[in-house]
Amino acid sequence: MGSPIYLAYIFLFLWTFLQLYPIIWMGYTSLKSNADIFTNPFAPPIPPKIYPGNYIVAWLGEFEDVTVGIYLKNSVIVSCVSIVFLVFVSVFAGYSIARLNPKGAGYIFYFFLIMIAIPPAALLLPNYVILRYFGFINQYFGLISPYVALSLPFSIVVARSFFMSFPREVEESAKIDGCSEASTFTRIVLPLSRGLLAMLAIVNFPGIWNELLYALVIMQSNSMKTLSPGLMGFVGQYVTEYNYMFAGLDIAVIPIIIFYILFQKQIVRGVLAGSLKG
Amino acid sequence: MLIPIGMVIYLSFSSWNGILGVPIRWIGLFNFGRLLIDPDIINAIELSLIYMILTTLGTVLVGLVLASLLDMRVRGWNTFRAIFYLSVLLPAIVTGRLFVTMYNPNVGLIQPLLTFIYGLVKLHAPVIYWLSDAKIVIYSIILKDIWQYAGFPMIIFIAGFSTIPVEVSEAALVEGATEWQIFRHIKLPLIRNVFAIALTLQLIFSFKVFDTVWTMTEGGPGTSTQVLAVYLYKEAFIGSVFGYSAAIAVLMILIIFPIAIASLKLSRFGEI
Repeated sequence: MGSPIYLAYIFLFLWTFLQLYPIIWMGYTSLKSNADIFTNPFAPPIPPKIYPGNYIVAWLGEFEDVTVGIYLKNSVIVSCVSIVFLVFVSVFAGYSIARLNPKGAGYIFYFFLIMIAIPPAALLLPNYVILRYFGFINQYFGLISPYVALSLPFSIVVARSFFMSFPREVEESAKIDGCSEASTFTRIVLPLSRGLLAMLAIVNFPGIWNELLYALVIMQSNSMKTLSPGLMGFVGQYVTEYNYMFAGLDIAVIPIIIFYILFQKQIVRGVLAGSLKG
Repeated sequence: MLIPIGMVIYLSFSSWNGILGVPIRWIGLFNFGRLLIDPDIINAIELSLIYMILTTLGTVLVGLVLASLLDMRVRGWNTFRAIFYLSVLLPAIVTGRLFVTMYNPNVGLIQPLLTFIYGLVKLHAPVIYWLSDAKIVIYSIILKDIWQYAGFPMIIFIAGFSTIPVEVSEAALVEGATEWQIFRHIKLPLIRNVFAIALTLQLIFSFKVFDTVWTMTEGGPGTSTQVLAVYLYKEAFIGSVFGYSAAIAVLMILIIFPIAIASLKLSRFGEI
């Protein structure tokens, strides 16, 4: 019985190494000078040959105007606002579908279920045209609305599943006590749905934060770009300044890692519930 | 969401270069005719399918293996689980550029590693052009995505495994079964529907792929990694041929629809 366990450990540590090493490598490589990266890629930087200044360059945009500081700010704004709208709308929608009459609700639900499969790329063109018509290109709202729209089907499906298994007795006793439909929702159901709200926010956040295609198309000036399209600025030209690039990439990655360390349990739980209920 | 779909269908019947003010000319099925004879479309569909199937298989299988290992509940298993899921959350631009650098024969990490390994047996390591060799570039990209996203099916499988009551495997052990037999004949069948869900989700996600390919090769070299979404983007925003790009969009929807509906039906039937 002992040997399978040792084998298991071997594989587990092997995969851990494969997963973590590149990330850690990215971390300490960003502190080296470009020449050092070429001559000795594996070695960590040894003081005094450490260049934290790379981060300043990346943050401030001294290298080819790739201003990671601004991109970070834009990503934060777009992501947070999108999540707020998304959770708000999907919770209302999910609740309505869960409590509506069965016949119509079924069709609406399947409609949203199918919508999950639509590739965002397919809707890129019309969204672009509509946004341009209304002048939202290169505006925060121009990214926020497609992000919300594209994430709604999945979130509504999850919300609806949640509310289907929500105990009706709580709502019923509230109604007996004289609550209207709306009050029941806001005063009783919502406060008890904190798990759902957190789950929706956490599950949708990475997708929106990391999104590239729409951000690339809609945000056209350097000052409005979010992290993903902005970091593309390190590509394109023949990239030889790896140190700045990795500093920029690390600036993008560190918030995610911190976020993950803090919320890891909820994230995993949220992904599970979202996928299995869907 | 319906308006964009309607618009895309309408646009696919037109010739337009996306500049406002230029009239949208209705050219009927011309775009679709072009679709049928366009060699790039065949290329794109082929690449998308290769990518979809290999990435899905890769992530699901690796995820399954990882989940089974973790299901043994070795000490610290939830730390491992946390580490393995981290890469899923990273932006494609970051992991994409990371792997591009690692794959680079001059600067990267893989070439020196190969040289070292070959050196152990006194052989000269071949130089592998992971990203510039048109024949293998798509596989290099697939490899990176398997590395990054294996954690996602893994999480789903861990949940699936945990719903199997311990008594079942213990009863089997008492009856004299080996670990492997328990795995094959008891655990695997019991997670069939979870397996279908993981498969479905991965298939749908991998069909949409744009970020990974774009950040690593922008569809190149040439068109050797130009999957459907990349082709769509290039036609619209680099080639300014909106009408044709919309036709590609419609094609994408037409392809994924039956796959999605079939997978959804299959996974629902697994409900016990």
